[in-house]
Amino acid sequence: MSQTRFCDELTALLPKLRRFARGLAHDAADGEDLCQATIERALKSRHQWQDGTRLDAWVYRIMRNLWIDETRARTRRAQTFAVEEEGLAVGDAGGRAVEALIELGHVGRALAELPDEQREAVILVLVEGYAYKEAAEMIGCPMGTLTSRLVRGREALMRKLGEA
Amino acid sequence: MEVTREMLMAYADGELDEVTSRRIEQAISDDPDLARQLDADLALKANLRGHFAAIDDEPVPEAWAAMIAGARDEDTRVVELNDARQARARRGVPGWGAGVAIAASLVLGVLLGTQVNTGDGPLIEKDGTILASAYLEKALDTQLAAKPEGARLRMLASFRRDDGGFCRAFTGEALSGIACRAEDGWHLERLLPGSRSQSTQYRQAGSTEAELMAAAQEMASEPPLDTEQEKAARARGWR
Repeated sequence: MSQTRFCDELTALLPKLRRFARGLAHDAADGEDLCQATIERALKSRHQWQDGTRLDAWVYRIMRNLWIDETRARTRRAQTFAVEEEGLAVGDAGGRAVEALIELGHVGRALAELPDEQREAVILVLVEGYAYKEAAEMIGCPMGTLTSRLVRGREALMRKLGEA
Repeated sequence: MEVTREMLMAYADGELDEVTSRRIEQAISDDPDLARQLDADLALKANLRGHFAAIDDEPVPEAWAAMIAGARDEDTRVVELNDARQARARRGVPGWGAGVAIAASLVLGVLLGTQVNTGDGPLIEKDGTILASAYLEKALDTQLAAKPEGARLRMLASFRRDDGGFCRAFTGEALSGIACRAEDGWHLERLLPGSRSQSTQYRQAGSTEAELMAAAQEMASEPPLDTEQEKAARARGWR
């Protein structure tokens, strides 16, 4: 019956997953897409989850990997089409970006401007309240790395938010 | 004591033990700069949480819960099917007692070449069918299941199958199996290595009987014959 437990636990995790996704993706639309893709992948692999282990950590790993893949793909696309973009109507690209930024609000913008790994550390520890050790395990980095990303992320945020 | 940025942060995040926390609190009360840093840090945390609380207020897309519910239904169906299958196997046909829930297919045991088609061996091959012969045929014809243990060949159970014919499950030193009576003799429907067999790497001791009984249960249309019924069937030549 552990499979129904998986589904029950995953459903209970949805609000947290959405926060994760919004945090990682720093844009509401991208965040929703990322969360949906994560749920699909998690369901597809649900038989690999070991009942009794931390489901949040397991799903977070999936989401994190999906996001890394996505950012790599975007970087490749940006490099490939860099030349063409110069010819695009500035208004279109600018319009969507401005919209997204307005949606984000002040804090969202500041978060979005952080490097991914600092933003990740800030979200797991400051927003979700994971202990340093837990957060480091979920990310898969040494605890020292986590704390240094956390310090830098906080400093950067306080500077940006302090400015406004 | 000197309070580094990391220590202050760790304190704010509740990562420090009691003793260290008290010392930092002492340092903070002595140093207004530290107190300001701590306040700024706590304000940042509140700011961040407020931002995500606003996100929490938005309704979660129904599609997500629906995807999960779909998976749950799938899994429930699979579990129900498996449970039903196992319950059927366990119930078995009345009169057989608690059956053994194992896979229905039996592995055809290793047949030593010398067992088949030698003059006095227990097996003969005829037109693609394996028939009992010699001592095996004799035992099938005459030996009752009630025969005491220690006999070279032991009858486990006799039963009728769907077509009305008689079958008998047996186990012996050389081989074990299930044979069914036909016009031309006893056809071997199942064969497994006997108790003397070396092939224990894929078979646990004692499992042969369990497998045979499970197979017999699936073939049978009625409970196994009792001694009186066996005697009657034997008298009629198992026809």
